[in-house]
Amino acid sequence: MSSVNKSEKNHKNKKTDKRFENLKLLSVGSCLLLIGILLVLNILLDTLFGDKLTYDFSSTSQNSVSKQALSYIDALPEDTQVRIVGLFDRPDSLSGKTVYEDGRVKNTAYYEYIIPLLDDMCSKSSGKITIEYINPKKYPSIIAELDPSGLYDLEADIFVVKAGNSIRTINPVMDCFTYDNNYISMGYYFTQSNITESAFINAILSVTGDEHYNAYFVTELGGSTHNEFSVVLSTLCFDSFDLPMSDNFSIPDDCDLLIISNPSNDITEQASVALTQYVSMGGRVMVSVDINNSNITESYENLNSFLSSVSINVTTQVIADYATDYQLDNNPYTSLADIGSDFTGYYDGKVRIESARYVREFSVGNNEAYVYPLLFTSENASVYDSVISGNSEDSIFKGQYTAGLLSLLNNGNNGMVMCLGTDTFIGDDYISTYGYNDGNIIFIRGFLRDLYSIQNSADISPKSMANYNISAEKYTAASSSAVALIFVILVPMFFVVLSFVVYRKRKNL
Amino acid sequence: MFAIFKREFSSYFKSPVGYVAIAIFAFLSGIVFVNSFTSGQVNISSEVITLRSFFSVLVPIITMGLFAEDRKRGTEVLYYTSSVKLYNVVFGKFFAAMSLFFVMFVNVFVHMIVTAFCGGVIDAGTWGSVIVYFFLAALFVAVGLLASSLTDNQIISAILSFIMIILIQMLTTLSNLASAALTSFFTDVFSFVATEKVTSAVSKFADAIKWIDPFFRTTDFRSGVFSVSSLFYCFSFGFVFLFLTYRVLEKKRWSQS
Repeated sequence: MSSVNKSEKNHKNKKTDKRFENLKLLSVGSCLLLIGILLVLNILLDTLFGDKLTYDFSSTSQNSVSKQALSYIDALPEDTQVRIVGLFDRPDSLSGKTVYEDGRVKNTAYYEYIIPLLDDMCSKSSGKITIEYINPKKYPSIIAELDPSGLYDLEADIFVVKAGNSIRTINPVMDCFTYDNNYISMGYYFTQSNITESAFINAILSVTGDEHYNAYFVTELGGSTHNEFSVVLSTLCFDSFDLPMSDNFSIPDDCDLLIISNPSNDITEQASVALTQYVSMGGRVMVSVDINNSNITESYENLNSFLSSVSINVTTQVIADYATDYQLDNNPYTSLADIGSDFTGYYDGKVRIESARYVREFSVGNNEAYVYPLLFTSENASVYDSVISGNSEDSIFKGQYTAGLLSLLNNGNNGMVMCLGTDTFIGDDYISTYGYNDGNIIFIRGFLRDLYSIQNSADISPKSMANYNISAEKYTAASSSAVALIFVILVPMFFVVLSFVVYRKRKNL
Repeated sequence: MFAIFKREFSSYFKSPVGYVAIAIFAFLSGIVFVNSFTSGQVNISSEVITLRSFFSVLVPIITMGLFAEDRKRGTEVLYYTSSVKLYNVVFGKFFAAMSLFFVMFVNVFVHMIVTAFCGGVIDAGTWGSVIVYFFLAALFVAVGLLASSLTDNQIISAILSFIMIILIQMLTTLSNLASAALTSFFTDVFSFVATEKVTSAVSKFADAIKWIDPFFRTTDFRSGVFSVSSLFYCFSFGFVFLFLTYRVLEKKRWSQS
């Protein structure tokens, strides 16, 4: 009897066990099935509709690639392969600070205006553009992979745009934003607009295009360095080379643009002759020469000899503008200048000149040269030799003075000379301070683009920045104290007290 | 479900838990807000992003007692003997915890009003951050519910949910660390494989982990870029945890242990 009962019990237990196993299987299976279904759904949603179901509601569509930029991308050939590499880790947070492994903290608030935009650009490029972030400190081989010849001196914290063997670099701070000209009076750079799109599209067009020009910088004259302007030129499909000044100076045949950047010393007589011949044969020359401590006693006889062949003369006089709306930081020697009416299409605004040398049309010049004013002061300006002599009584009449001229030779060869009395268009000091998309640089870039009919270059409107400033009237010491008192002390204290009250009331329940 | 919701929600205010949670949240959000206010620039989305870091503290406080307390008192037997469905219990408690989050978040809405009054900007990025905040809160509350259903000890439940939330929050950091470690490992051990191939494979692995990270996927919302797929991901991630909680509770019906 008992053995029968035992076998019945065993039978029941087996039944229960089987049900238990089935229910366990059902439970675990249903969980796995749900996870699987949701995973597949998410992958499908992401890959098929991820972009279509993404909406940019930001003011000025800060994070979406504009139609203007998209039209340039669409116009690229179908088989275009552009690789954008950020030489840093993609920031985990776009909230403003990145803490590096070595403990450094860097303000990276600007990334929030770059990274989502690049993501959008890539996703809408139909596979023509890819973006990746590779930190060269972790993967040093990336530098050699991108630039095997080591020509571009790639370093961390920049973007590299590469197609084939062609490379352009973009600095996220300097190249992707424009800054306020009045930084001296503000005491800091005030970001004005986001030009990330323009920087990247221009770089993409530059690396994918087949336009190519050579720019030669005349060196060994003790003048400004030209690294920054070389970068500007690179966005216009120019390769830059040095051309040392010497007694047997000659200009290479493949020179498309010759630049003399703020020389401290005069050029040689031989160079003056070579330049004159070069321009008469259709060559194009840019000269910038301001007044500074290193060239204050230099009258540039040989340079002027060359410039006289195109009816231009650089004086030894410095420009001082007394119109307050032209002055920056109440300094007459650091002022704004108007752009000549023939050239306002390149930049619609005033440009900045510093310690500008008065550049005038040479009355006894070349009849074939047509001279156009490029930059001129307000009508309330003067020119002084006083900076040289130290005597303020040397002032000449108040009036309008030119700080830049353009001369075109009408001899059938179309030679051109641009002479600027300021270094604020070419010099490293200026460009490294104000970035590649400062008004001066936009002007010079537009001018060169037009001069060389460069197609692989885009004009894309900047996007204004979000401004989270609160009203100056409401932002006072008293209001700050009140806000701190209410939100940090009173409100939390109120709830802490409430919790004590409730605790005391309920503790005996 | 509504009865469960009502009971749980009111229980937050019949004990100090709700008030303490609100006080902590008010203090933390207040500090962040005052910091930006005194600098003259108020970006509420940055405040909300910062507040997301405190999920690991707030969520365990709010969810630790939801099931653990019932289990300890033995009142959980009511789930199985009354006519109420188990999923109603789970959703009722989930919505109660979410409602408490909403009450806490009133602080931030007040900050928004003050900002607007002071001439500041409340833009799409701000609303994007707020939306993401609630989706992430829902996800982590679901995580906390699961932790609470696994034990009858509130402390253990709080620690469990804290660990799970921290792990989820650190997914991207972990993926970066893992990719760096894997790259150096593969480069050393399998030196015959091209470095680029190793880098590419590891980078894809890191990307896959980042794809799972709800924080990483919702980063662009603060800039005003709204992605439905990212929200759906947060929703489904949270739903999985709610379903797991339901299964853990249901296990009692048939479990032999």
